[in-house]
Amino acid sequence: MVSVPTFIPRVITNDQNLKGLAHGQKGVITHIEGDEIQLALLELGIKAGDEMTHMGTAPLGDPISIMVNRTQICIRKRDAENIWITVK
Amino acid sequence: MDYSEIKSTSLSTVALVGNPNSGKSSLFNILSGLNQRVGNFPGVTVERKLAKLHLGDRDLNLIDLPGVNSLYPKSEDERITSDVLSQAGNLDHPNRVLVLTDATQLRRGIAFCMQVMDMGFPTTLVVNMIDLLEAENMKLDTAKLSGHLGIPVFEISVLKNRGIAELKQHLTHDPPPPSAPFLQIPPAFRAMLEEVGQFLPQANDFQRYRRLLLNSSDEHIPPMDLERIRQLGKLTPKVRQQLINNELLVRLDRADEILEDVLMAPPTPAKRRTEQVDRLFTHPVWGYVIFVGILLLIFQSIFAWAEYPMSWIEMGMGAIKDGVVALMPESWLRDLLVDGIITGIEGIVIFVPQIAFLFFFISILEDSGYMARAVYIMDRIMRPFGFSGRSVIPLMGGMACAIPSIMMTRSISSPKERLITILVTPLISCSARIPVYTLLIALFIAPSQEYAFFDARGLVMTGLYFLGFFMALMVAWVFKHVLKYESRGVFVMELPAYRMPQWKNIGLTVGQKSWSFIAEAGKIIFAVSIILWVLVRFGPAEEKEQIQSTYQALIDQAPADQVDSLQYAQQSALHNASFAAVLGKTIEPVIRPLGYDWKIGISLITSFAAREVFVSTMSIIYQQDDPAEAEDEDTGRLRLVQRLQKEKHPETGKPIYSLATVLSLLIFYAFAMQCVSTLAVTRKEAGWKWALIMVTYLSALAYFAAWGTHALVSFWIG
Repeated sequence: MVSVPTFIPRVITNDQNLKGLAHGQKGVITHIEGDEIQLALLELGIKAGDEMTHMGTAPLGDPISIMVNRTQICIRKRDAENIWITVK
Repeated sequence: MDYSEIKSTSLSTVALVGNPNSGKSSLFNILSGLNQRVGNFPGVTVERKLAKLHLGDRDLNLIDLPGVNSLYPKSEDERITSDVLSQAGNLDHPNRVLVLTDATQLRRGIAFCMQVMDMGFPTTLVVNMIDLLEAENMKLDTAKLSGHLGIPVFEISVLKNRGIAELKQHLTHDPPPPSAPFLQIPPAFRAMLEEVGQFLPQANDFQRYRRLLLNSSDEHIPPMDLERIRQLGKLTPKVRQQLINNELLVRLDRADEILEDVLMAPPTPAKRRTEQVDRLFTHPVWGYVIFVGILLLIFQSIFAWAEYPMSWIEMGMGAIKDGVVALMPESWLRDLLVDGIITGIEGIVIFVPQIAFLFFFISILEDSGYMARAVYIMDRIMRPFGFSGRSVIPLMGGMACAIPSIMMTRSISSPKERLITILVTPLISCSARIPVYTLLIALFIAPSQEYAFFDARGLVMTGLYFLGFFMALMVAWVFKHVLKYESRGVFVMELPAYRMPQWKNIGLTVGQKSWSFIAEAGKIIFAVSIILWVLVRFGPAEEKEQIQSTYQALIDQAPADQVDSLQYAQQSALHNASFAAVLGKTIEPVIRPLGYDWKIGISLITSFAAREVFVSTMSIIYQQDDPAEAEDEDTGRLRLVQRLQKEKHPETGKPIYSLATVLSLLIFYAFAMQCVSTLAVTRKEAGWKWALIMVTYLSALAYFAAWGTHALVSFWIG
């Protein structure tokens, strides 16, 4: 068998998930939980360690929009729950 | 033209690949101009654009592949790109690749470029929108980047027409293949890759590794071999996924290292205009007001503005008909030419202005970046019905035509969401319904009625569009429960920066779509028009003779001033004895509850192939010239409206086209399938079973809704 470096879910006490952030808050992505969401973000050039800014929420409260590096994306709250941020 | 004719295998093929939103189709258009052929990839309906380039003394093929972010596909159209690049036996397999990237998204562009290089292709990196980078006071050292990657790098701006000549010059000589792969495959895989090599002898290590991680099938590898490859590594889906993620992560890290060295950024980034524009377009109130306003503008253009070119086409076709009538002696051949063939062609060409307007607006929305915002603000609304915001684009595209929209669903990665979107797309009122709606609405609203700025007819039309959209949501909700669909897929979407659309690019798209409508839908409409002409002109011989002799006797005895109207009555009677009439009368009992007579019945039958045939059928059925109208100078459509309004029920003497009947017809056409091409494309995309389910539910829905409308309106107004 091939050993694969795995991402062990770890939640640092100061971190909070993306869903809880407010408009304009900035932070650093520390951890992305779940392979599927990780892949979707990696394909857009986004990974743990990147700085992000909360850009706003869609008029009906979902999805939310964030800017990472110079890429603006929108993501549903359900998925945003799995993205952990150290708020600056 | 057949694809194999265009692509001669002796020529070298260049594939254009790149991230979505990197301006790929604009670059393709600027490189190939009008010299391109649009078709489909074999077996699927993803658009394939191919051009033959003449550069200096060299000819080569340029193929445009669907936009992707990696070679691990998640949706059907991404798979095309991945297959074309990985299958050496694929018809489109290129000799070299141009990787296009957005200058403001270099990290993922470079990471993707490295992946393409690892596949072993001679690669050129093309950095588009360099002007946007400069606008933010950033500087890219192209020479250094080229040194890091070991391949030629070009900076261009398609919008500003910068660097295109240099790129064309570069295409005249082939670059060498990349020397060493970027990805270090873990040594533990060495033996495994050797074994994969038994099945893929031509493939390099990365190609073998990639095949090992992929789950998808491959028609160029026998299923048995594929199964053996799958068993080699005993890799669970989870491990595979993590290996893919690791690979992408490693590539992004490498891209970062390179960018550190080649990209000079000012300490404080400039504020993007996009954010200010977004504040308006995604505003809780204005966002939706603008969304609806854009829809209204599109309908207004289709309804009011397209009227002018349409009347020119009518005038032109009328002149051609008059010319033929004047030049040819009266014969069945002349009738066939004038009433069958030319009327048939007119029935096709007349739609072109409306279709052109629609694609004009849709391409502007896509090119400008607004479409992604529509997805963003609509996602929450669409979700309870089993859609994500992603389905908004095919559904909005459904306003143009269900056929390309059903094809567009290939970008939806969840199979069930995709199926639901396909099934309800025909409920969105497409452009082919416009002529039907136009004719029917004109029967009960005079052209001059206006409310505020908007034409009253346009408002009714907008109402019908909303009705279709509402019904699509309802039906989707039902299918969501029938199919037990619970969306679990991840929804992450890029919101690209707003950009000025490129008019040349939009012009080309509009031209292409209009032409493919003429070529594709035109064939059916044309064939149906001719069949119809035969059905209307000929009938059971005995009956015809009887009518002929009865009327001849009457005409012979009548005073001279009554001959004209008797001849008209004779023609009407002959009409009632045609094969078409026989067919229409057969189904009359079924459609009587909806308020239709047999003449409408004929139109329902003929327009099953294509709903817009309804109008041409009506004009063929009512074509005979009433002498009382001979002086009328109005256009053909207006004449038809007047004639329909005069039409009386033979028994009751009431108008046939009463409000109840017209509304019932409108509802019928809003919901009914009535399009063979949609049926065909659904069969291709989802199989016979779903195609049949689609046509059945739509027909039933249309019938009962029309029946209900007729009953209700009749009851209401007595």
